[in-house]
Amino acid sequence: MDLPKCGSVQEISNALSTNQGSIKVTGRLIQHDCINRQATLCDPQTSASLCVDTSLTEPLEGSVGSLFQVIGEVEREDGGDTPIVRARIMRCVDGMDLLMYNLYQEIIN
Amino acid sequence: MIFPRESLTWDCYCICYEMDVEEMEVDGTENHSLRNDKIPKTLCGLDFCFHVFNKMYIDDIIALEQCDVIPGMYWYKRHPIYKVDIMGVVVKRQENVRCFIYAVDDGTGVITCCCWKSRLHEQSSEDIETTLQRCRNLPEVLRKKMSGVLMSEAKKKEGYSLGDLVHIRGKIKIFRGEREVVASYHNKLEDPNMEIVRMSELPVLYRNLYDVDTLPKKVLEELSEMSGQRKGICHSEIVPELKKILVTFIEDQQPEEISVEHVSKIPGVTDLLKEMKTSEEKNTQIQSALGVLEGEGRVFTKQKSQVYGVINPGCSMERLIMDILKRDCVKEKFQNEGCHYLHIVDEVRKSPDYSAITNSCVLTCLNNLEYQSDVIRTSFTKYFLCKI
Repeated sequence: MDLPKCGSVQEISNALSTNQGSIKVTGRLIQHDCINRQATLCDPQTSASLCVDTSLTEPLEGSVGSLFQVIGEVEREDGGDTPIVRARIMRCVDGMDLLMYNLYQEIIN
Repeated sequence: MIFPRESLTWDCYCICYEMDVEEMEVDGTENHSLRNDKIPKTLCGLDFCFHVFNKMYIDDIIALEQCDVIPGMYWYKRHPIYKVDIMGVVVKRQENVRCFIYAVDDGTGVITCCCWKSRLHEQSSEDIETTLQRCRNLPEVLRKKMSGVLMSEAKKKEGYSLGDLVHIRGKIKIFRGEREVVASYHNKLEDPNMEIVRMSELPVLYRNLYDVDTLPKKVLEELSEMSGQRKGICHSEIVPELKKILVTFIEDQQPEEISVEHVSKIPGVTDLLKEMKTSEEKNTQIQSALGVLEGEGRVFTKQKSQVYGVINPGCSMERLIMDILKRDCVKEKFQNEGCHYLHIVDEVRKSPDYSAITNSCVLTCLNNLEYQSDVIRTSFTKYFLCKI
């Protein structure tokens, strides 16, 4: 069975600088455009934001302002500056303690 | 089966906050001197990792080394593992007639999990409404409970969807060349903080359990010394092997007596013991094998310490036993039922050659005589001559 690649857990600020591969990021949904299938995730602490392509995950459960975890592949547009994440999984994680999550993530790394 | 708690309590939060960050760092420096040797198969049960569902990272589960001695067993460093406990997000879902196959991703790796469907669901195809109709007569509280149960059953029937956090416990199996977990317990977790609880538990477990040896260091050193360079045969297995070789030798050649030096010259034995450096070690192994045989009644120690007499059909002890029986079976005391075997043992011990003979040796001899139809066993413990 062809398994999808594992999404390595990263912060949004790191994700902006990775080139390719599958990642898993957690952030708050600032903007969600159903028609163009675009969303913007923002890290509550560093306020770095990331574009997400949600073609595979529409319709989204949950609304703007909720915490979401996204697993998907990072791709760079033709320009090369702005990365965009093609989301395979969008998961609403409202109520998750982000402080602890980041702390343990640092320890594991 | 104990089901894990699903809702995080305040106590859990407090514990998480109190943990010191430095304490949680996984120790990278390990003792690599004993890395190559695995615990022998007979001692695997001493390790608690063998008995529990081990919480591990998925990439470690994928990288587990397969054990050649025990099928279904895997090694993580020196621990035998065959059941695991994983928690992750469903990234791929496939429904078959009898089971669901999910790909679970926990951030370190992805593995397939097979969740069998319940047979009961196949049979009852009733709608929730019709079932509730049938329960009209029940009190309100029970009806509410019933509808709740039916809802959760229906949810279970549909399976988990992409993006659900699931907790799965099961055995590792290889299906079509790929490793997968066959779930014996699976559940969807509503609270996303359970992922954080698992993330906090794992480094501690690794530091205290998986990266540490179960057996004390001295025991491990002894084990590695005993097994030496050779794989597969360790100290505890040499003596049974020796015993087998000796038994085949005795049955083929039927010697009257056997000595330790004689044994060490048998070709099979020399191969087995060639790793041992001193002849003393070899002799102790041979003597322990002969001791096992003595306990079973195949050999007995003669007056000289290194020589063992062998109980074969036609050996001299048989003649002695026949003489004892001929003498005693005519006596009134033994005329009806025959001699008790312990009485025969006492009489045998009176002769100087067999003064230290064991009960089991005399029993083996009596059995041989019975096969030859010279004596008959009248009861569980009594023997009688066939012809006087």
